[in-house]
Amino acid sequence: MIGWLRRFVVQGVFWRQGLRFGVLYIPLWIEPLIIASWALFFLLWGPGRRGVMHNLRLIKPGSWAVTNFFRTYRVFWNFAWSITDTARFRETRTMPDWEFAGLEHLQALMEHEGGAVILTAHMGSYDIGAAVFSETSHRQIVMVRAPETDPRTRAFEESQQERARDDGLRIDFNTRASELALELLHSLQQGNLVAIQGDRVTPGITSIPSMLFEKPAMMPAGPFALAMAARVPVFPLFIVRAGRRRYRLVTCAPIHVVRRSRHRDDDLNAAVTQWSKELEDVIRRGWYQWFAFEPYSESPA
Amino acid sequence: MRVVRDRAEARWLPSRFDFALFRLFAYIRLRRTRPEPRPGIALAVERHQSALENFLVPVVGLIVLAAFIATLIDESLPLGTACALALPAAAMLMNVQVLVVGVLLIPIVSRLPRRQAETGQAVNSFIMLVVVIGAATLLSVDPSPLRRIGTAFLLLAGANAVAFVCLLLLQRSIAEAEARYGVEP
Repeated sequence: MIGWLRRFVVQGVFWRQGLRFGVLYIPLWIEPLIIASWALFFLLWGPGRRGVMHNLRLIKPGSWAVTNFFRTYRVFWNFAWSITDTARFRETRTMPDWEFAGLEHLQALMEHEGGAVILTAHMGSYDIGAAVFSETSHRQIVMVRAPETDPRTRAFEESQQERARDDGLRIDFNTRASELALELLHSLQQGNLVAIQGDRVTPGITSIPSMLFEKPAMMPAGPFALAMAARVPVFPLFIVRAGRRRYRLVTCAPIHVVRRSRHRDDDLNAAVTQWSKELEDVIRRGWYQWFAFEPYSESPA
Repeated sequence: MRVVRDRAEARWLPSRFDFALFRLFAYIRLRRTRPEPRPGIALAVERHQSALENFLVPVVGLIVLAAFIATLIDESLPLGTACALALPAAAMLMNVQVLVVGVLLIPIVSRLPRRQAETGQAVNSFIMLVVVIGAATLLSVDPSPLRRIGTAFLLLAGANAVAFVCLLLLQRSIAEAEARYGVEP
């Protein structure tokens, strides 16, 4: 594709710049209309739409394609709100309302001595979630994200992250898997929190087979291997969009990845199975905001 | 960051609302509501936090603009068809207006010594309000049955102006009520 045209593909920088423009210039009282229009426009993005519809067929077996089409719009609508809230937070530090579910587990995480892995999913605004967490906790959070595929978008995102710099929050992109693993291990051993998204496997990342909605799915092995090596618990934590500018931070019981047998993979599998169950439960209740635009399982619905 | 923790009734803090009518309504609710302690919530004190307000206002604006556009084309089309075409056209007009003002006008206005976000939103908000009020005024004098929409909107705008005056008179008591939640003016 011609270089300058690349900025207009769906992962291109044009849309990120457009989002920033919108956050700066759109009056908040007409925001819902603008978001509704753009969520509709992005339904033209075939691969993303088909990916969500495929996942919805697996999440809701027996559902009709036409119903899933409208459900897909709801996913796009929620995604649009989530990225808008994130961009607004970066630009103006505007914070939404928060509800905390699983307070006892959140308290346990706050009071936990030493490092911990926070395992989350592509739901709600995980950027704001991490920022809220870093403001309420005295420890540094290291957030691991998949890098943008487009170099201009990556540069733009990194410059935005740099502008909205927060001393309690560091963002690392998992471009160099082995180096990053050592850095994260060191970070955990220093007593920091490491937040990783555990619902998607990007190319080059080690994975473990698991089941999600009774279909085979691959889960990233990294977070569990890291927790095992650092001997720290894994806290499943989800940022769920509960309404306009309202989010729910759901903290689940910690998963302890302990070496019990001679076979490391068996111990990892047990933890991954527990994570898959938590993930499935949250997605079942909040399918409309699971931002997985690629099929999570190749199995037919 | 202004946040009220563990008190659900703080959702009625007037500072969480934007338009005067909603702020006044919120103040009345705040005075009448009982304390609702709810551990595990944190409510942001920002003027656009109300979902009801922020969905209702754009829908009203969209209806007024759509009705105005429908009156422009209803001579050549049946009223129902004109309304059906006018709705997406009004939504598109709002999108285009934001874009045009943002690209052409705001670079000039943003030289004023204010923050970029506030300037951009304020200019666009002002122009959008002028467009909607202008459309409602022209609509209200149109012979079409849709004129009632224009009249209703103007009455609503008038009520908002009255609410604004009430808020000015109640300024001190609102500040006192909000101070109980740790919200400084």
